[in-house]
Amino acid sequence: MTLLITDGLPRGLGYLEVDNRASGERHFEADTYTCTHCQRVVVMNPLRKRERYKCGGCNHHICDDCAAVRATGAPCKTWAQKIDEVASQNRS
Amino acid sequence: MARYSVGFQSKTMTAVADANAMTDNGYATFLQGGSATMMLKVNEIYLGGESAASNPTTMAFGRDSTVAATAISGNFNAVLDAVTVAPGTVAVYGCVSTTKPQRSATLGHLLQLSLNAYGGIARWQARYGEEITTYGASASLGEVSLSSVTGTGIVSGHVIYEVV
Repeated sequence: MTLLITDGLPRGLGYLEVDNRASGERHFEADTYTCTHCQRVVVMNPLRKRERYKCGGCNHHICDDCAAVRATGAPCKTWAQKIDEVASQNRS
Repeated sequence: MARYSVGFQSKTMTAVADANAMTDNGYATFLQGGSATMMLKVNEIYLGGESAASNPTTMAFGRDSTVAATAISGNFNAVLDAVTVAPGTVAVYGCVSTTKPQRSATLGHLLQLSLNAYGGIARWQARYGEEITTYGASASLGEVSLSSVTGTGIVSGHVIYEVV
């Protein structure tokens, strides 16, 4: 049987833990993902209702800032592509 | 390639704004490529607070618009795999230098690791394939640093990275 996941949320995530219980504060845990366009780490707010933007170019979730840029019509350009460009400039 | 851990111990943070010179021993660490073509992939960052009283400290991990140079020292770097043969060139790390690192105003906040340094911890692990990368050894792609934006907590911790 094939299982199709259709909620559009990223999977296999990174992990952030902030434990301030020693100072009488909270223990916070959250999933994270890294924006493929700018490499910012996005801490996923479990209370968020708005959708998370998935870039159609790289087929990966990106941060809200990069999503806003993408929405203006900018092309998909991943961080790996930017590094490849710098590397090719270094070689030439 | 080889994975390493760069560690720092009992550092008293000095808050620094973006695009301002950091203070020797007043930030956790910087991590810089060892050559113009070296790529590093950071996949874990850990901070443990050691202050004796409440001290909320806002730590930022991100790219530097001015990279550390000259008379670099401080911190510890160890290979994780016991049988790894060390590569000819390794990454550059430290918390002391003549030219001080400066956190980039635009790329300097890839990850916020805020904690109360009174016994608090903050830990981030990347999803596999989503590590934070550096390339080369010059600004702004070639160096990342972990430093305080606000707060003067005492912290120890490590940054685990791979030399690609």
